[in-house]
Amino acid sequence: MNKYFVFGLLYFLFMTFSSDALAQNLRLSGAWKVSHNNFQIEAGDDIPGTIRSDADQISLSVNGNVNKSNWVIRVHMEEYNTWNNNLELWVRRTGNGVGSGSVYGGNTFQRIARMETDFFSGQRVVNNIDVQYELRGATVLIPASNYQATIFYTLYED
Amino acid sequence: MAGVLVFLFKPSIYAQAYADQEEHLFELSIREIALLSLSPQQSTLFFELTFPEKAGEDPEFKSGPNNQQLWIHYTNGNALANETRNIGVQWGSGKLPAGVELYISAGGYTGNGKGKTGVTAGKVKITSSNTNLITGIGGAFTGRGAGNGHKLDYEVKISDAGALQNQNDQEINIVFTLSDN
Repeated sequence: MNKYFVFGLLYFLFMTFSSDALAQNLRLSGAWKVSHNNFQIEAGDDIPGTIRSDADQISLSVNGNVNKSNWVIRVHMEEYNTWNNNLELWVRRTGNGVGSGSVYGGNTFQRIARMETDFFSGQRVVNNIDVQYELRGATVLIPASNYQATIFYTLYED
Repeated sequence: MAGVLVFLFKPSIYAQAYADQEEHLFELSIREIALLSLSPQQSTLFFELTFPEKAGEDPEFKSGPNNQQLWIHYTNGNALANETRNIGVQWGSGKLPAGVELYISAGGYTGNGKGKTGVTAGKVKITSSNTNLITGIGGAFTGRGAGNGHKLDYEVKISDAGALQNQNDQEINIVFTLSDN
């Protein structure tokens, strides 16, 4: 095994595993819980059919080795067994974040599905990108219960 | 040569574009709801006992003009789809004069609401005990204001003319309760 081969092998291993340390990464802060505290109704009224979160209900940050990269964030959800099919979650990007990069797309509400769908795209480092939710379909006509789902944001490099 | 080729060729391990993933929990908590209201609010019914002009005729109660404008509304949400609630009626404070009875009936549901609205129990006599007026209310909301919900009709009857006495105006409260079946 000559020295060139050894050096090449070491270089190969370095590029393989060091890429993990330099990969872009995603950070999320926040969550959303809706309860009777989010609305006031009187006798005769239904629960509001559309309930909107704060404009900065959660925030997403993309950082890491992004100086040469375009990226896209996709969103999907997985409902718990207690979910009711009358309920819909919608999401939109409300902020541009801060950083050396930029973001685009995702400004209008889109429904979160079980399958991944593109949410918004960007370049380089962008932190604290604000995201807002809308819950549609809440009503007294479905059983009083706790309904839960996990919302996933997945970062892809172009 | 094999070592040189490896040196010049940067391997592209990430054929897939996945980089990272984050998640958070969403939770919606809908609690059981039981809301009841009347419109107009704080309504006062007026009944005036009048005596006939001719001997032998019965005295009667005349109903005030606003007595026919009353509606009851509700919003009801249960934990189980097959659960229901009822609306009962009874005296609150005050007492009817001797020889007089008061009856109430709720009309069938009408309005802009949705869901499993209740069924009227017909004309019932108001007593000191809670008596069902509307039954079988499931997950439902009636809407608000006149024309939404169940219209209420009252009727005063003389049960014993001999017991009637001349007395001052009597104020009586009627209580409605939305409760579990």
